[in-house]
Amino acid sequence: MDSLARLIRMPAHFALAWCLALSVMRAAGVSASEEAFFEGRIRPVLLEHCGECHLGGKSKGGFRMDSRAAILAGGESGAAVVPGDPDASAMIRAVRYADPDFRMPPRHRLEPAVVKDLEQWVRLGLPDPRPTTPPVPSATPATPSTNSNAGHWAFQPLREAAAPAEKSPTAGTIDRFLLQRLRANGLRFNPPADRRTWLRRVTLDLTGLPPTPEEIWAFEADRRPDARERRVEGLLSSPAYGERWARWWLDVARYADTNGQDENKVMANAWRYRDWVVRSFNRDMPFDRFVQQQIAGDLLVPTGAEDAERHDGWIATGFLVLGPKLLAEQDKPKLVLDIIDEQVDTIGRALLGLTFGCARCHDHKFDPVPQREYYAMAGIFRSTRSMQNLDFVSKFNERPLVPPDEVERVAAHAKALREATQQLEKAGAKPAAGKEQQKPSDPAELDRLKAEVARLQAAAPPAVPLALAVDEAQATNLPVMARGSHLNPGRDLVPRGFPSLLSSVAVSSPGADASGRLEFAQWLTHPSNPLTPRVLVNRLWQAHFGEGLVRTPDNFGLRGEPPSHPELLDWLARSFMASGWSLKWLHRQIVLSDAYGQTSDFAMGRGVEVDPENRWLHRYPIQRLEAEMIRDALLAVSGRLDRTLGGSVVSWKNDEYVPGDEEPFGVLRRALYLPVVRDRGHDLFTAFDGANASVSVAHRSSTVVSPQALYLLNAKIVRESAAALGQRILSQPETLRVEQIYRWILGRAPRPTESDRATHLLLDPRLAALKEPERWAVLAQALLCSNEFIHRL
Amino acid sequence: MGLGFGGLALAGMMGRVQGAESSLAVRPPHFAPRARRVIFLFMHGGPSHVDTFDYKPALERDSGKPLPFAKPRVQFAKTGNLRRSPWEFRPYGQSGAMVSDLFPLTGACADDLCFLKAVHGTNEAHGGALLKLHTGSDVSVRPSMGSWISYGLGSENANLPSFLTLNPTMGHGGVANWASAFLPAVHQGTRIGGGGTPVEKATIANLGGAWDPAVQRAQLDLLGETQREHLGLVGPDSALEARIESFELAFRMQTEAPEILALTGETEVTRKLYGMDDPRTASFGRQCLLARRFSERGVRFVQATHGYWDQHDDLTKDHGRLAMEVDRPIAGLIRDLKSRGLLDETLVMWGGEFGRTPTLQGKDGRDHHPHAFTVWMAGGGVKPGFSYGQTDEYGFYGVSDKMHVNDLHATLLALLGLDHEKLTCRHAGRDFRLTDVAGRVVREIMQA
Repeated sequence: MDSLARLIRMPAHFALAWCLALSVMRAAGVSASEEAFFEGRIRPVLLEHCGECHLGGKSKGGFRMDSRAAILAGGESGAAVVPGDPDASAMIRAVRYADPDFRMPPRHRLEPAVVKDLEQWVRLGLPDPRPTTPPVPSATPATPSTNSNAGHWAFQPLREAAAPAEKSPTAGTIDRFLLQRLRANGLRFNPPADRRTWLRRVTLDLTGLPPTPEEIWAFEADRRPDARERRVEGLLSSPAYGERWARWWLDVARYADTNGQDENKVMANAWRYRDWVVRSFNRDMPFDRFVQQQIAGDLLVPTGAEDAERHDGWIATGFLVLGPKLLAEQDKPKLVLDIIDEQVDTIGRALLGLTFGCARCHDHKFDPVPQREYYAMAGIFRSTRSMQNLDFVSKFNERPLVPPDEVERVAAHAKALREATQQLEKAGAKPAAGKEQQKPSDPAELDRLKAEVARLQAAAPPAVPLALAVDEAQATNLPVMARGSHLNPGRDLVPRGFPSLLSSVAVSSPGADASGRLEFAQWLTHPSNPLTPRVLVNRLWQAHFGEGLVRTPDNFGLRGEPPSHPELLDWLARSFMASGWSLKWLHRQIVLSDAYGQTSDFAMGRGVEVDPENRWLHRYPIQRLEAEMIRDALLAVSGRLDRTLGGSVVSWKNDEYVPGDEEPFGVLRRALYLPVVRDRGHDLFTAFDGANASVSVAHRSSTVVSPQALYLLNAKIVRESAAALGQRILSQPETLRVEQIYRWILGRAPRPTESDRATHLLLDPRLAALKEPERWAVLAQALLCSNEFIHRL
Repeated sequence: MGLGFGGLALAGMMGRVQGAESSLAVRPPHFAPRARRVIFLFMHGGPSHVDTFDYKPALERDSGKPLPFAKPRVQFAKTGNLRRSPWEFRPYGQSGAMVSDLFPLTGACADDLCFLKAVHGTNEAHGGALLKLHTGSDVSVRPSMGSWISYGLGSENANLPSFLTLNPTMGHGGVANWASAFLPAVHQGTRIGGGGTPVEKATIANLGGAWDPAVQRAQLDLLGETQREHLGLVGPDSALEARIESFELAFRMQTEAPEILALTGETEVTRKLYGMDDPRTASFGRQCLLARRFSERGVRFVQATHGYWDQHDDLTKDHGRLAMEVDRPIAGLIRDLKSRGLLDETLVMWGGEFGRTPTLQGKDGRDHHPHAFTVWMAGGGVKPGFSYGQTDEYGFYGVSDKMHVNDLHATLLALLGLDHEKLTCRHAGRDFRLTDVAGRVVREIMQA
């Protein structure tokens, strides 16, 4: 019944072949008794147990069973049958269920009698009366031809487009491109926002902090024509700039201080990478160099470089090591491939906007990335040392930031101390207070040993500083792995190399003894590679306007969205490269544009109906502050923010499991410096759409969920910030307090209605039981909860 | 109002346009559902299938002999020869299901249970296996099954989260096991307890505590007026509007959720049924009772976690203690749901991240065993008093009607009226599913 049902569902051409075989055809060389055997014992088995995956156009594992020829051709795992030799036939081994990893049918074991029939069939030489069917088109598409989608916009060289002419005297180049589209839709920019609104917007944007009342006052008083330019320069040169934009990059780089996954081990040296990003941004390191350093910084150090420069090159490659890894995976060859996959996929999405990970198991279904090219790139990282060991619980790679003899000296000292301590214990005295002395020794000897231990302890050199970093490993090419599994390696090794979809990018192939990271870094940042600059300027645009010109920032492939303003995107990318890949140049262009400076007002013109998604930027898009900004702003306006730069705030030991449930979130440093603990979910980041540190995050969502309200109403940090404000306000003259608390929190004086409401609240009988600073804290907290406080307007 | 515990669509005014699936509004299933909600009793660490629900007389007979066929290519650690179960098995109910003496009270419910005895996973370590079981992937970051179900169906109670996890482990993937990954954040599991917080003290983060309710009301009144005035100035932004409402919702939740957590209105009889009168069973009893309370108020997916069933040694002592802690609460939950008429529409699922080897480890232990283990279901449209799938005579490999974890997920979704091939989310340029590219709906276990 079951097999009949299957037959009915079979494609017509197969059913036809079946009928023909039954009634007419008898293939050459098949005797009548063999045919009877096949029809009676084999065909029903094939139909019932194998057909779902291997008949009628199905070719799971690349294996078809529609004819003798097809069976003999085998599949991805190689030959299936050796005619005449059941024991040597993979198909027979599979149905015998001898090998736990290769069993057919996968869900149930065949009856022993059926297995015997199949063995007999093979022994007879696989007599099969079925005609040799023409190859059925495979269910998976063939290798995409590079030509078929080579015309995709993102793979084209950057176009040179002149900005449209524009009458508006203030309009810069960006504005001219935008105005062209706005006008085409019957729209225009909103009027300019007032100076205070612009200042809060740009200060939050460039430094992640709200402007202080003093900064607001100074800016409002600055009537020079270039006051905005001056303010932007001031913000860009503030160390807070690097802190804010480092966090932007850390989302993309899936930065974390712990491994996450199965074994949540501390990566106690990850912070050096974070601080390197902060330094690089503050120095405006050219972005092409910034990319190269992260892929191959260790290979780019010039000879004769200072230690600091060499170390920075290593630290930068922490980018490759930061990913989450299944450290206790006991299938170590699989672990190695999974780590490489994470690296290749992250690089693709972070830098190129391409989903390389799709090509691990098969040719990319949409983009021109054949599986073979995935393994060409994977070979580069197979030739790179990302893991220190592949022990039971494996360990990520680190490099000492001191010379080898120093490492040896520290190790030797530790050994000497260990031995001296053991000797002392043997001699019967514990250096620490504790157990009773077991067998008293010669007191003089004991004193000598004690002194020796004390001397060694006092002279202990500082621990060796380490950096998460890669190193070169034995250069190795990988074969294509069918379905991405190391159990299915292909026969040929794929030479290490780069995707062919950007054929204009000419970079020499990796040398025989080198991993190829250096060449890959050059390929990624080659002047004729259009993807890297396009993806970057789009990310930066998105950070300022909430959405990118391309709204799929990590997918510029065929399934990504096309740009809203393709000419602008290319103009930005070209000019960015011409500026020396300067991020600060790019910020200036954006934040000094009319588009950025307009109001966020909804009520103007026809924008809401013509352009509901604000794709043409007819208004400045209101954006909720990110989790980090909310926290930093709470601390800043309550005067509690610790502005110390850099360094680690955790005292956790390297490579230990994350201890307990408590993380040191009590520190009042900027949120950037809080440890990023994968898979723990600090409630601030859980509530306010923080980045998932286990993947490259291209776009944080901006949700409105009740846990956010619960957080603002009840979380300790909010309560304490409100309490601090409630205390601080009492130092102000009584008549100015309401105004001052508005100025501190929202950067402006209250409107009369607001003053009245505040005064009423302070006198509200429901607050009667509270002390005066508490009443002010209730008011302060309400303002901290307000939309005005937690948005860029 | 259409606003969930949290969520609501942002109508494209800010951030990515997210549409209905970013809210907890109820959404119709793909086809008629058999179950409306799930309670997952997760036994962290991996309870031994051959010592609980998968009876193997041959293991008794051949105890001490070597396994007569090959062990898997990848093993977590080495194990020795076959080892009999220290517990007796006996038949229960009309179905005659064989259950060990570890679970006498659950055994007495056997006629309500549907055993899946040849479930298998792909990872031999806890972390990977937990992630696989909860998210379908031990390689990449994927949404949890509870998040997928919330995403597919929405919530039946606007004032509560749609996906709760009680007392989860913070290790072995931690949050990733109840995270929404690339699904909208509103489908993230809400954690109650875990990480060392005793169950009786566990609550939802930031659920009150700042001020006396009257003070907070006064504060919210001022906030609301301030917000509405502001909204009038900047224009009708739906996200700003929604945030005004979200504070009111939060305030209401501060009332509703603590009442559920306080077990208000539960009789002594009910508490006893769940074992809350005995310190040994009180903790998991509370979890099971909370699971019922949240479930009956419309929470789509409630997970209760108990551990730590990882007996590489001292199996006899520790499996004995662990089973004792959960047997009565589990039986209590099944009986309570049944007597309240809730079992038909509530799917209860029990299982660990893997089973344990039929072969001996150490003096009295068993190793991790993802190659075949038992999961059981009850209610929610599965066949009662039924058993599906068989392992070989020692319980080492599945031999018939095997169910991969992907198949378990596909079947779970199907019971809820969701087609695992259609429940997708577009992310990074392609559509993702809980079952990735696999998954078979096992209709054989569903009631006609």
